[in-house]
Amino acid sequence: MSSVTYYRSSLSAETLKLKNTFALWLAILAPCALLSMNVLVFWSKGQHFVTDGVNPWHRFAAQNFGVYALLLMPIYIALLTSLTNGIEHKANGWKHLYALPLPKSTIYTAKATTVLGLVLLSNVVFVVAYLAAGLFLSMVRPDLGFDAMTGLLPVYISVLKLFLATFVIIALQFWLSIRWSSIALSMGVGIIGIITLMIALRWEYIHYYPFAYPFMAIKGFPNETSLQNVFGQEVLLSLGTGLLVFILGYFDVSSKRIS
Amino acid sequence: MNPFIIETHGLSYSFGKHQVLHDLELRVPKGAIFGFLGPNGAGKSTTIRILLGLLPVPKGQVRVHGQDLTEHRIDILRRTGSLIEMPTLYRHLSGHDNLEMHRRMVQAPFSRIAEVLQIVGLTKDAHRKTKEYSLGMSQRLGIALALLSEPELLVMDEPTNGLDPSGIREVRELIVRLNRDFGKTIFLSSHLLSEIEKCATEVAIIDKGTTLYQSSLQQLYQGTFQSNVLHLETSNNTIAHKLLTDHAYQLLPQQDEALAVQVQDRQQVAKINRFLIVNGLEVYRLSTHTQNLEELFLNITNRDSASVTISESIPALKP
Repeated sequence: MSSVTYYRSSLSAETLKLKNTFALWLAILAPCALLSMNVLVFWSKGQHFVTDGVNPWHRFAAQNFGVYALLLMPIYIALLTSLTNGIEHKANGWKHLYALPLPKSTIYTAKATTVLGLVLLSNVVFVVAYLAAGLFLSMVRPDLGFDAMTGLLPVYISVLKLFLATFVIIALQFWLSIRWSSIALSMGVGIIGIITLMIALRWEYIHYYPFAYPFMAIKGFPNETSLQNVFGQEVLLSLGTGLLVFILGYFDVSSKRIS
Repeated sequence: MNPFIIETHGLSYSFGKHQVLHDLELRVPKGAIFGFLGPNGAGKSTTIRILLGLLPVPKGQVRVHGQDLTEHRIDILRRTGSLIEMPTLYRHLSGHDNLEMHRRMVQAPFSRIAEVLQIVGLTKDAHRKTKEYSLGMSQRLGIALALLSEPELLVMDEPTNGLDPSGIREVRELIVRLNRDFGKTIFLSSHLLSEIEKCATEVAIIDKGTTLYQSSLQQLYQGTFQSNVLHLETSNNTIAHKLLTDHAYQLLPQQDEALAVQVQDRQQVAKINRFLIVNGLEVYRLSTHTQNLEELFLNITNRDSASVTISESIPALKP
C-alpha cells in the first residue's frame, strides 16, 4: 500500500473519531459566540463605532479581529489540540494506534491534519458568521450602512493570513498535547503566551515572538497595501517554524516508548 | 515450512539500568493457544509490547510469521490482532462506530463489521455507546476490533483482568472458539493460572525476564514436576505423623486435620494404609491429590528459594 492510501484511511478514521466530541462543537461555537457578542455591541451602540467615512463592515471586522487574534486564538487552539489528542489519552489509545499496521508518521500526520482542519473549520465558520452578523445588523440597524457590501476582500485575506499565522502555535500546542495528557499544561502555555504578548506588545522585536504572529497578521487591517501581500514576514515565519516544530515533534513522539 | 508463528532468540530489554528481559527464548507453534505465564513484574507486558513493535528490539532477534520484526513491522502487524489489557474504546462512540473507525485504518471490507460482531455476540448492542457497555462486553468488543483484519495471530495481554467470573468465562469461551473454529493462533498472557490451565494447549512460564519452562500443557502435567500427595485422616494424627516420619516418608505441611504425605505410586498408598492399621490406628480418609498448575507454578518460580525447604522443615519442628 502506498503512503497516500495509509494517510487517507487514517484521516478518515480520525474524522469519525471527532463525532459527538466537544472539540468539534468548540470549533463551530467559539467564533459564533464572539461574533454574536459583537452583534449585540453594534446593535445597541453601533453609532459610536461607525463614524462618517468608515466602512461599517471593516469597523465590525476590526472589532472582532482584536479579540480573535489576541485572546481567543491562543486559548482556543490550546483547548482544541488538547481535546483532540485527549480523545487518545483518555481511551488509552496510543498503544493501540501504534500497534496498527500503519507507519507512525501516517498516524502523526493524520492527527496533525485533523487539528489543522478544525482550526481551519472555525475560521470558515468565523467568516460565515461574520457575513451573517453583518446582514443581520443591516436589518436591525439600517442607519449603520451595512447594506452596502463593499470592501470584503481585505477581510477574507486577513482571515486567511490569520490562519496561516497561527500555524506555529498549532504546531507547538499539538506537540505539547500529544506528548503530555494534561489540558492544564496546554492552557497554561496558551495563557502565558497571551500575557507575555500583552506586556511586550510595544517591544521592538515583538514581531519575532510566535504568539504575536496572528496579531501582526491583522495589524494593518483595513489598510489595503499591507494586506495585498498574503505571505508577509509573520506568515512566512509562522509556516517555517511551525513546520520545524511539527517535524521535531514527530521525532520526539515517535522515539517515545509506549507503555 | 516454519512451524513457529513467534520466535524469540536471546531477547533482552532494559528500562534504563533495570534489566527486564534476559535472553528470553520463546517458540509459539502455529495453531496453539499459547499461555504466557509469569508473576507480576516478570516481563510479560514488556515482551508483548516488543512483539507488537511498541518497544524497540535492542538485543536479540524476534521473528513473527517468520519475518524479522525490526525489518517488517507493518507486514507483521497486518497479520496480527492485539488486545492489550483494557481495549482502546472511544467511549463517545457506539460499538459499531468504534469498529468502523478501526476498519478504516486497517482497510477491511465493510461486511467484516457484521461478521466480527456476530463472532463476539454483540450484534444487538452494536449501536449503543460503548460507555454503557459492561466490562465483559468492552473486552469482547476489544477482541472484535482485533479480529477485523482477519489476523492469523491474536496477541492478548491479560484479557480477563478485572472481569467478574461470568465475564471471564465469556472471554475464555470466545478464545477457545476462535482457536478451534477459526484456526487462530492465540498468544495469551496471564498471571491467573487457573485461566491458562482451562484453555491453553502450550505454556511458557517466565520469571525475572527468563523462560523457566516451555512445553505443551500435557507434558507439563506428566513431566518431572508432577507429584502425588496423599491426604490422610486417622484417629490419632500425631502418632500417625511420628510413625510415618520414622519410616522415612516425606510429609508435607499440614492442612486442617489431615496429614499430607508425598507418595510415588498407588502401591505406596495401600502400603501406608496397611502400615497404619497394623499399628492400631483407625484410618478415616485417604485421598490422593495431583499437584495442580498453581502449585507447580509457584514451585517453578520460587524453585531456588523457599517452597521446597519449608515443606520439609515445618512438620519436623512440630513435636
